[in-house]
Amino acid sequence: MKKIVLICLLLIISFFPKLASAQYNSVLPKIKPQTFNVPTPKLVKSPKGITAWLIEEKNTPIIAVSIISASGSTSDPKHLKGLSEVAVSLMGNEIGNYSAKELTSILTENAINLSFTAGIEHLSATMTTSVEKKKLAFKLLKLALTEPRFSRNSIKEAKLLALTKIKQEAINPNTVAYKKFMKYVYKKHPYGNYFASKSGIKRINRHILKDWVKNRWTKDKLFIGVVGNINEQELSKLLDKTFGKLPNKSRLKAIPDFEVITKQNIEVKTLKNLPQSSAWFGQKGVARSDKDFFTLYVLNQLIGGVNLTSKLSQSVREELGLTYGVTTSLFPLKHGPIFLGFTNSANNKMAKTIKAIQTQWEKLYNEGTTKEELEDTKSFITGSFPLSFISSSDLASFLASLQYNNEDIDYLKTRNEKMNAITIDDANRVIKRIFNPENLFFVVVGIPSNL
Amino acid sequence: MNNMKNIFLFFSAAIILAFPSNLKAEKLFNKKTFTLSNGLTVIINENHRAPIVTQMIWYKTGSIDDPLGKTGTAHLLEHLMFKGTKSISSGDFSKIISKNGGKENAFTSYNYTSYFQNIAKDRLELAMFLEADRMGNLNFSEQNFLLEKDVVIEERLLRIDNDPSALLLEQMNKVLWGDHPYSRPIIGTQKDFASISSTDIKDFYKEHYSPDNAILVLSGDITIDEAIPLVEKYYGKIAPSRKPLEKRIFTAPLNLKTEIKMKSPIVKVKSLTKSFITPSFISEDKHLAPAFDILTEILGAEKLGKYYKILIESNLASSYDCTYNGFVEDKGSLNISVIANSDIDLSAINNILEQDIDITKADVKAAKKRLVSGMEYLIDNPETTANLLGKFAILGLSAEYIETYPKMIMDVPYKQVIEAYKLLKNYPMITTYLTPEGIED
Repeated sequence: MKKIVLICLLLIISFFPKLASAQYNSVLPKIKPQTFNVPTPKLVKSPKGITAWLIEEKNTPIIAVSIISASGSTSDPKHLKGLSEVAVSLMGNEIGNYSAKELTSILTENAINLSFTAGIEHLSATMTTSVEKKKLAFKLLKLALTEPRFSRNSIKEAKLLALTKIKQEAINPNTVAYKKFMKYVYKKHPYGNYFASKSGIKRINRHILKDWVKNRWTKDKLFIGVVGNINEQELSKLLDKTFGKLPNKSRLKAIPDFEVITKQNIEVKTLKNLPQSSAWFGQKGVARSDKDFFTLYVLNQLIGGVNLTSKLSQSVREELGLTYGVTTSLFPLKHGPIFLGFTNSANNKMAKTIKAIQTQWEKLYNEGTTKEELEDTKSFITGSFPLSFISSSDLASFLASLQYNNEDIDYLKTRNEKMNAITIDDANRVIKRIFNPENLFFVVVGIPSNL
Repeated sequence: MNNMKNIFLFFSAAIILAFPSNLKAEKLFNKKTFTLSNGLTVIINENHRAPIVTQMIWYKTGSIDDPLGKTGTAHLLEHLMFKGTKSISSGDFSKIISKNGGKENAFTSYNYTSYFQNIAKDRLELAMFLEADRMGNLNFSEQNFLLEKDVVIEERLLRIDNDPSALLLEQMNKVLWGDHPYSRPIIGTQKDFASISSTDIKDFYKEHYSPDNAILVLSGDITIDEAIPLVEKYYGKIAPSRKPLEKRIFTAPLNLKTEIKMKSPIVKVKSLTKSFITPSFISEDKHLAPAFDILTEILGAEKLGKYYKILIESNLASSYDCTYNGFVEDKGSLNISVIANSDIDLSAINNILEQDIDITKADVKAAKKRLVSGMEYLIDNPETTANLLGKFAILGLSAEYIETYPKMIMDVPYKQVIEAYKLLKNYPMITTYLTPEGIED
C-alpha cells in the first residue's frame, strides 16, 4: 500500500509532565514517555539574496510555501479603509494572461492551492502543490505577486462583496463589539480604525490596487517558510525566479507606537432585537519581543486558553453555566500590544458573567497562581507541541511567522525549554504586571440588563 | 470557537471529497478493520508523519433518535459525557487530556455523535482508558445536568436565536421535512429543553451508547499490532447492551413546492435560499447520488459554476453557494443560497434560479475532473482521515466504498447528470426569502 504521507518528522518533547493527577494513580494506565526529535529548518539564501526557512521532507508528495509580508490593514490610508481586504481577494483571481475562470480551472485540476489573506499588521500568501506540479505552482505564485490583472469587472465584484460583508457584520454583536473595543482603546491610532468602510471601498480603483501590490509585496518585507519535498539548491533557484523581480523596498509609512491605557469600566452599545449580548474585554499586554512574552503565553492558556480547563471556562461556563464560551488571547501587536478576551451571554446574564470574569481577574491578581496550576498548563503547552506539526501547510506558516517575529532558526528545538524554564516567581510577577483588575475594560454589545 | 462542542448544522454537513484522477489500483488509505467480540468495530489508519494519534469514537445515534418533544437530547448527552464517570470526577476527563498535551472535541449530527482526541502517541493509552470508561460508566450529578443545560441554552442563543438567517433555516427545515426527523433542530428548541430530565439523558445513554453501536477509529502513528492489545484491554471488557432495533422507518416528506418569507428588523442584506430533498449515497435511489455531486459542482463551483456567470458576473448578487449533502442516512439535500445586491429583488433572483440551465458534455467532464483532484491534502492530517473514515463507516458504507468513490464519479454518464437535473425539479423544494424590515420584495 502506498504510504501517501510518510514524513520523517520527528519531534522532541524534552519535558515530560506528571502524566496524571495523583488522585487517579491507581486508576489510570501508566505511560511510558518516548523521546522525539524536532527538525531544524535550513536557512536557504538565493543568489539574489532572497532567504527562506526550509524543512525538507523527502517522502512527502507535497510542497507547502507560506509567505508573510510585514504590512496589513493598518497600513491602508485613512480614506481607503478596506483596501487590503479587497486587494487580497483579487490577487489570486486573474493573473498574467489567465482569466479568473482559466486560473481557477488550472488550480483545481492540478490541485494547487493559492490563497492570500490580510491581517491587522501583516499579509499572508500560501501555496501548496504536489511535487509533480511544482514548476507550474511557483510560476502561478510569481504571477500572482507581480502581475495581478485587476480587471474592471472583478474589482466591481470584489467591492460588492466587501460592502455586503460590512452590512452583515453590522448585525453581528461579536464583530460590532470587537470594533467598538478597538476604537475605545486605540482611539485615532490605526489599530482602532483599520476596518473596511463603505466610503473606503467605494474609492478603490485599478490604479490604487496596482500601487498597493508594488508597495506591499516588496523584498524588504517578506518572510518565507517552505516545507516538503524540495531541496536547498532547487528552492534557491525557485526563490530567485519567484521573488527576484519584486521591488526592493516599500514606501510605506511606519505605524506609530501606542501606549495602551485602560481603566476598569464597562461600555455598552445597544444592538436591539437579539437575545444574547457579546463582550470583549482586555488591557495592556506585551509584544512578542518582550522578555515576559512566553510567561504571558502560558498565563493566557491558564486563565482563558483554548481548553475548557482554563480558569475562566471553569468558573463562568462549568460552575455557573453563564456562557457557551469564554476565551482570552495575547494580541501582541507590534506597536501597542493588548491582552484580549471574549464571551457571549444571554442579555439577562451578561452582568453576572462580567462580575464572574472580574472576580477571576481579582483572584489571580491578589493570590497569584499555584505551582501545580502552572506546571499543568506548561505540560499542556509542551505536550501539545507535536500537534502543531500535523500538516505541511501549518508547519510552513509556522516557519514564516517565526521569522516575522524575529525568532532564531533553532526555535523549534528550544521552544519547549523556554516554556519549561518559566518559574512560579516569573508567573506571579507577570500576573502583577499584566492583570491589574483596575485596568480591565469591557465593551458589551446587545441589550444587557443591569449594565 | 474551536474548543467548544460543535454540532454540525444543516448546511455545514456536506463533505467535500476530492480524489486524484491518477489513483489507479493503489489504495488511498492505509487502513485495516477488525471487530471485537462485543461488537465494537475498529478502524486503524496508519500515518507515521508525526508521533501523533487521533482517537475518534462514533456512536450510531444522533438527533434523529431524540424522543418526541425532547429535541436536543442527543446533543445534551454529548455535553454531559464530559461530566464524570464512576471513577473520574466531572471535568477531569478534559483536565487529564489537557495535562497530557491532548486536544479534544465532540460533535452531534442527525445520524451520529462523535468524540475525539489528538494526542502524542505515548499518551494514547490514557485517552483510550478515558474514552472506554465513559462508554460504560457515565455518572453525572443532577447539579451538573442543570448547569450544562444552561450552557446549551447559551449555545443555542449564539448559534440560532442571535442570527435571523439561522432561525429562518430552522423554520425551513420544519416545513420542508414535515414528519421526518430532519425537520427537528439538532441543538433542540428552548421549549423542549424545559422538558428534558436527567433521567431522559441517562435512558438515552443506556439505549444507544454501547460497543455494539459504535465505531472506533485510530488514525496516525499506530499499527494494527500495537492497536489490538490496547483496544482489547480497554474496550474489550465492556459488555454489549444494545437490544436489536427495528430498522428505522422514516416518514417520507410531502412533495411540497413552497416558500417562506421573513422580514427582520435587524438584517441589512437580502438573501434567498432554495433547498431540495434529493437522493443520498445511502438512500434507495443512491445510484443517482454521484450525479448530484457532479451537478452541484457544475452549478456551484467557485468562479466556474453556472450561477457565477449568471449572478455574480452580472452583479445581481454578491455571493452564492451551492452544496450537496449526500452523506446522510435516508434522503439527502441540495442547497443553494444567494445574497442579492441591494438594488436587486429576490424574486428576480428566484426567477433566474427557476430557469433551465444548459449543461454540456464539456461541463460534466470538467466538473468530474475537479471533483477527483487534490487527494494528497486529504490524508495529510490524521484527524481529517479519522473523520472521513468514521463518517463513512457509521453510515454503513462498506470499507472499500471510499476507495471506489473516484471511479464512481468518473463513470457517471452525461445523460445521468441531465436526468438528475430534471429530477431535481420534481423533488420537494422550499424557497426562503429574508429581507430587512421596511424593504419590499
